[in-house]
Amino acid sequence: MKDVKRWKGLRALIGDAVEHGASAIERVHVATASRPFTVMEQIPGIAEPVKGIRAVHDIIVTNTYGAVRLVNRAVGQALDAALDAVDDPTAPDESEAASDPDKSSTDPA
Amino acid sequence: MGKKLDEALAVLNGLVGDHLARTGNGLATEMAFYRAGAALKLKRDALQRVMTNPQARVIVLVHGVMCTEAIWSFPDQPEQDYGSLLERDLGFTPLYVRYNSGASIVENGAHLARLLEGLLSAYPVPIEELVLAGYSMGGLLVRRACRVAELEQLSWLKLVKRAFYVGTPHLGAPAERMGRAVSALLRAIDDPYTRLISELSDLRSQGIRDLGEAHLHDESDEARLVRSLREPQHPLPLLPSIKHHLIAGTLTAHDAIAWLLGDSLVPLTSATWRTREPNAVLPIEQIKVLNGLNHIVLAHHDDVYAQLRSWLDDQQEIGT
Repeated sequence: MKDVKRWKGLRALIGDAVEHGASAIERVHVATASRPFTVMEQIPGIAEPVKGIRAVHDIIVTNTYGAVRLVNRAVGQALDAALDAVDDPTAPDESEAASDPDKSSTDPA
Repeated sequence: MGKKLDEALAVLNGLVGDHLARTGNGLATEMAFYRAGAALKLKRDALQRVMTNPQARVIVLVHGVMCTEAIWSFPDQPEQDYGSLLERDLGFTPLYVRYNSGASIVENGAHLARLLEGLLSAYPVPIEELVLAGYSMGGLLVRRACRVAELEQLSWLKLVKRAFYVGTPHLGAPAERMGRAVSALLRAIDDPYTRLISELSDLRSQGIRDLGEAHLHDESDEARLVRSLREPQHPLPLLPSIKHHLIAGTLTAHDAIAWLLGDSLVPLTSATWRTREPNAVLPIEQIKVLNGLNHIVLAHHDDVYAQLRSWLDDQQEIGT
């Protein structure tokens, strides 16, 4: 059970890293792309079309990174379900027992 | 594999352990006493089975950031460490604490205080003396635990007559403060890439952040306005009921360089609590500076053990 707990922890950590990583890169992407858009939006004649392109670009970026996060969560949930399936709830968890004096005692491994 | 995995998890806990604990992640290390790589259950019958010859004098060793109790092991003789040597030479029973070093020092210190209280009732024989030894961050945990024990009037505190701090940044670690400054600088630059780097560096755990200024007190402490240990009115002075001993390392015997670089991570002023200044907090005989020992080596070196043994062997110190 301790191993499964750790595998679940690793899965969650990777999920967190993908989630936060995608969000951080999205922020960089949007900020970087905004620079040429901002410049072009100052140019008479192309300002209005550029605003439209920018809006479409931002929607695509948001949806793309949102999809990454969505797939990440879905994969995470699937892995959690798989780990739950192989987990034996009757097996002792040494770390939990060690921190809780009230739990049944056995010798450490 | 088990030891390597434990060490990898210790590094992970040190880096992002506060996040792991906050999110209930199974990779977060729960604080416990460890022996032979396994957590001890704080129940009398369990301890009786594990400890063949428990002594009334116990030394508790608390490791530093991003490591486990394995840091105490001598590289050429892994079965030996300060605890096992003190058991052999002076009859102390060693107990090794493992904890999530990424959690805040305040939290870990409070947890250690309660762990020690649990030990008192579970230990197979009555404890006559409890010696606390902390390496690096572990020393700060010891100080915080003593503070919690004092505030909550925990019974183990009266058993502590001597405490040892090995390479402990009592006045903080400049490397962390420098990292914090660089991160702030990068964040201030109006560029998405430098801000991304700043965000990445800010992922470091609360435990590491606490090391910057040795943040040992929480908001509930009465002297919360004093934020830094470097301020002379710090609310967490070393408890006067305990005889404190400091061991510091230096990379070189050269005075100025030693004072500047200390053991490479902890400056001499921080490890020795500014003992060269007129308002030194400890008498010089309770401080030992060992030249030529870097921060890591301090956790497992013959010279450090010789000093620990010398101090612990002095029966006059018991009860002072």
